[in-house]
Amino acid sequence: MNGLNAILVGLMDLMLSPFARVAPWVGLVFWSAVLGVGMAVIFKYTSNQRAIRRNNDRTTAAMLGMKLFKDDFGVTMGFQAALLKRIGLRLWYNLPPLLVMIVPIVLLMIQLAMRYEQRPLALNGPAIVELNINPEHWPTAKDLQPQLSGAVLETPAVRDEYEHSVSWRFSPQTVHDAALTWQLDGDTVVKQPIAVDDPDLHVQPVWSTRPGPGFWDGLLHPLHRSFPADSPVQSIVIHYDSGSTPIFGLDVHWVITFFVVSMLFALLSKLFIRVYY
Amino acid sequence: MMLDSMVFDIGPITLSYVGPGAGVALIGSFLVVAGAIFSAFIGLLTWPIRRIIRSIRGRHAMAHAKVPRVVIIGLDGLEPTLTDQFLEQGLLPNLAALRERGGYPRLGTTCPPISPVAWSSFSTGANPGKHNIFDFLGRNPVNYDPQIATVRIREPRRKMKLGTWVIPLSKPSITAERRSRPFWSVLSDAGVFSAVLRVPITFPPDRFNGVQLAAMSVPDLLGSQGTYTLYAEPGSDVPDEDQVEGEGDRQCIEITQNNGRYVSYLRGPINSLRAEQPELRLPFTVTPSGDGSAVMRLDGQKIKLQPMKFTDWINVTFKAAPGVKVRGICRLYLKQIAPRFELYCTAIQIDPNKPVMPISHPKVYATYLAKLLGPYATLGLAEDTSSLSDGVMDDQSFLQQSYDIHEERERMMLDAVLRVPRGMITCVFDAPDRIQHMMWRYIDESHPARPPDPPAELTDAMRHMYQRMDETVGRIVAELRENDAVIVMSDHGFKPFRRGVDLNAWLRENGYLTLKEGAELPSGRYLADIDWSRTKAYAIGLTGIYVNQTDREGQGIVAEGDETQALIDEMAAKLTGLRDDDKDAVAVHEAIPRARAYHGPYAENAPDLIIGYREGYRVSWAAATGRCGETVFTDNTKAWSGDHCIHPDLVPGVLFTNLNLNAETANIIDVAPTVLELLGVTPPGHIDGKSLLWTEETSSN
Repeated sequence: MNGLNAILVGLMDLMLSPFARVAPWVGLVFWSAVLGVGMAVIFKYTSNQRAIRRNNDRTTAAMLGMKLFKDDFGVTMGFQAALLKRIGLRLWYNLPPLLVMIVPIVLLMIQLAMRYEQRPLALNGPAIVELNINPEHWPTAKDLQPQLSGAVLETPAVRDEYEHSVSWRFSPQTVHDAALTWQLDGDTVVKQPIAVDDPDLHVQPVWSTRPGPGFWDGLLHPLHRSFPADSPVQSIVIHYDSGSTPIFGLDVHWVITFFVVSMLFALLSKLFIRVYY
Repeated sequence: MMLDSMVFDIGPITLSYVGPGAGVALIGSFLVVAGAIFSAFIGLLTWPIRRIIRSIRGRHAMAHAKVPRVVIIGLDGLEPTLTDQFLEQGLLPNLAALRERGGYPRLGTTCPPISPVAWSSFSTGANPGKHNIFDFLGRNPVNYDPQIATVRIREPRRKMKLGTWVIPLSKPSITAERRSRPFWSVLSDAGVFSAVLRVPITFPPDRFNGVQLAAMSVPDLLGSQGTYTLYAEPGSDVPDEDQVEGEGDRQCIEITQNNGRYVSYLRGPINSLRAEQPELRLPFTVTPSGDGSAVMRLDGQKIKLQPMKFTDWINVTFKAAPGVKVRGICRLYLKQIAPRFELYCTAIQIDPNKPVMPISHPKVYATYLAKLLGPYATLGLAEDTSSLSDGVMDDQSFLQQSYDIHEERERMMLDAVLRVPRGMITCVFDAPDRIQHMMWRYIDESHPARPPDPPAELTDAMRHMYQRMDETVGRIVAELRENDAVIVMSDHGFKPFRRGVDLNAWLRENGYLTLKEGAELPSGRYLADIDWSRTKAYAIGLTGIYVNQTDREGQGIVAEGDETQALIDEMAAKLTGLRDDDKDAVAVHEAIPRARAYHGPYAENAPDLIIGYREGYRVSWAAATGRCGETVFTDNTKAWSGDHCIHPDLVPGVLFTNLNLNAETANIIDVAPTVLELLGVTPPGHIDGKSLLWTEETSSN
């Protein structure tokens, strides 16, 4: 999983590299549009287009029928029933492309989330880091302290005996190469890089969680290598602030932008690739 | 579950979705469900109110109705003698069942007995003098130009020229020539709902409480009544567009092979948005596949052409201006690739999904049918008889096309039966008429157009057609309730058309018509070579003869009044009993003066003399288009070998019903008042027919 994540992260870095120095929404809109068209093409070739078209036609017919034969209550209800059946079929016909696209789109969304969901820490701004310790190693983590590189510690450790976690407040002092390092059980060294706002870059990968073992954890938290099962540290969470991708002065969540733009371009692609939804 | 698949919660991502298809489906479905629930709720809430309003407006619609529903199945041209024969042979069980339940009288027809006239009398319950339809083709008396007798389509009155563009500032006008009121409009006034499908002469559609799909007179995209196209390599046997006499239009486009493929174009309508009015064209290529089939690329579509098979309906879009599209549908038929490439294309018809002109009432009804049943033929005369007459198509492909259209119509009728539980439903099926026109030569051994030793499937084609019509009746009746009234009827019967009578040649022989000096025989189409200063009478259309009358015709020479009447009487006397000496037979049963045939405000628009031919005769192809030939009588050697344009007494239609009617002298004009009475509506004064229901008076008689 770490290998796959590394490839995906690298690929997405490459895709967004032309947009690194422009407003964040430009890259988001561009790739949303491209992916919208791409998804339309995939949809076309993985769905039963003839059946979808026929079903859409009959849905329209049922709606028109309600208008044309509105005087008879029984007939109108018959059209209502037909309409519900058509809607069910519509969802059914969407299932195959949905199954085909679900994995790549989820991976893609994770990659986009890594760039747009959270923002890096401000230079000199406060931040919280939280270590979740393997319960077996909790006794030996009693005096655990981070070594800071390019950052300063602002508070002593706060230990949660019940959750087996330790937290500190710190603030980054440099843009590049800021990191926190812990040494547990004498020989286990854990280093966690800190994402700090780089004025030269508009889109930076940021991910709050460095996950523990497990396939899904690794899949859903791709930026950092996951901890092995026997690691004294189970996960590290740095609490970054929510990201923002303003478009023309409006602060729109990046998922909404992605949703609207990709839908719009997928619909527009009907003009030249004859796809029916 | 679907929603769960659509939206994920992955770590910091709070919302996501998988693809536009699912997105559109989910949002679209949600909106549709919400809309459906909302409309159902509103429908439930307002139904009692609407019911009250309807009964007030409709003056207690159907309160006096004798039956909940009247269903009329029109089988255009079903011939009584053939029907009798097949009934006797037990081949028509569904019609026989109706005969047993109700009756099976002859149904008198109109003068002349042709579909536009007869179905207009069916609709209005009136003689043609009141509904103004006398023929397919008429003439403008001022300049003698031919004109479609059933509808007028005029360009927008106001236009604005902007450089090379012409912007219309008003809508084109489409006006029906049929006058009087159809009985579904009368039913509408009483709040009764009707579904009227493909009844001839319903273009432009009527406005009434119900739904209607127009039929005869609906043009194709070229504005004609049906123009097919033949794409043929040089050396192919193609009809001469200027010389061929027939019932429709054709165009032949030469096509040549280039780099292994054929390149040509579909001809669309004139682009009236451009000052120079160019023809809109849609290019296509055809690439032979090597196995006798070919692949056509047309308008972004890849279409497989199988040899000797029709394609499905193909959507075509002509772009007249940015954002202005003219949509049509057509079917293709690959005749052959070798030795010479030949491809047939039906007339490009109005796309019912997005009609460029109103072909239904309400306008969305055409769309509703297209969405529900798929694309369908919209042309008034959809079965392409011209291509068979011209030898471009063969009998089997013509039959295939006719039955495909018939099936489309049957599905429409069955849908109407499902959707209209109370009121009136009628649909006219044209297949019997078209097939009898073209296949009669196979049951008539003395017909000049009969080929030697025709195959059995063609000599059986008529019997097969009657059986198919019976099956259609069976399928429709099976969907009806016991107390529904059923009427199965034809507008006229059918007879052979062996010999053509050139009325213009007869007029010329008898000194009533003179051609211009130097004019050759046959003369030009549409009365082109007539010397009006020396012509007293002329013929155009299927029906009869017009007097070249002063104060009416542009260059008339016969005075109105006594002189005209004397001329009419003189010609009628000569024509009645006119003999065809070559065949030793009487060709004309009776020539009927207009005044005797019609009464009503529009009677004067009819031909002055209506010719009622004997069986086997009809007006010749040349005279019908206003030509004058060399001889009065000619053999009809065209595939169009059966006809009904003879004396009305000789070609009645049929009437099957599950009602016990007083119908010994039933006529087509009696159907409308009968339906009105069945549905509890008093027939209005303009109706000439009488109800066929038994009254106390008729019962005692």
